[in-house]
Amino acid sequence: MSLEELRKVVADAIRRKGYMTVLGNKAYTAEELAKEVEAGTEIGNKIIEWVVRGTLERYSLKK
Amino acid sequence: MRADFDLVSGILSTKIMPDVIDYARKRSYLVEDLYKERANKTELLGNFLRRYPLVVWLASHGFEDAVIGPEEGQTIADLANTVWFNGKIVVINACLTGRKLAPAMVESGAKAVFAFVDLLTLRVDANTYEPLPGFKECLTKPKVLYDGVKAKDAYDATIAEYNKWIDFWDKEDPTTADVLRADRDAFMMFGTGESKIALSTYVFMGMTDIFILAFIVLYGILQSVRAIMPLLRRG
Repeated sequence: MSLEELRKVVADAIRRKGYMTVLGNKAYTAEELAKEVEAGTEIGNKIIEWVVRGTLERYSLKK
Repeated sequence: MRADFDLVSGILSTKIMPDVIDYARKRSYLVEDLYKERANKTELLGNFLRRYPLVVWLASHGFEDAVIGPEEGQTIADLANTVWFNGKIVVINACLTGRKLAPAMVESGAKAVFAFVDLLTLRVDANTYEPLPGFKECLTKPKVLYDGVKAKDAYDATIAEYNKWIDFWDKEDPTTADVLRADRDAFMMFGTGESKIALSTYVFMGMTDIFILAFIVLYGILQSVRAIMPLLRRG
């Protein structure tokens, strides 16, 4: 999976749930956060980093 | 201290912190709630001088070296007043303060400081702004300090709470679990893990008002007797 595909998958997951995310000093709607992820901004990349770390942890716990 | 000047600080102050206040009050602690415009340095110092708080909670926006309040552009805690927190246990629910502010507080004599070394992240319902299950529970978990738990045990209990809810969200929505993971990994304890609320200190501090009141009453009686005695002798 390419980074672009990963961004799309994560953005879709954020949109699907529709939760608001308070990140740092700003509150993002699901749509705003999804756009940050798709655009690869600093915040968007942070989310991707968390998703990768989370996936690794989930994988290591299943092993 | 609950700053409330925008949506984010409002969520922390009104959706998260009341739980901590209730918890402490139910255990008969005297809680001084510096909310909104009262969340300023003057009020904070005044309270530190009048009372001797054992645990201080700060909830607002944060930077590496400061907690913001009561308004944007002002600080309630920064590198210039870390010495005010000498001898206290401090819980900071704000971004990034674990990088510089919390270590500086410990260097200035704070017993233990709980803080985040990265961004503090919350997920809330888009309509009600109510935190999703687990976020409030994790952020307020250090409240077990009010049960006399040691700082290190309060820290361990908080990490365990994070892990419990991460497990829950891994099944419901992994992205939310990953947000909680980031919070868990950013949550740190600085200072002495053996620190805890000492009951003797608390009782003494709690009795301060009674001591002062008793002194005023006895001093008043003494002065009255002094005034009346010469009159009685003459009679």
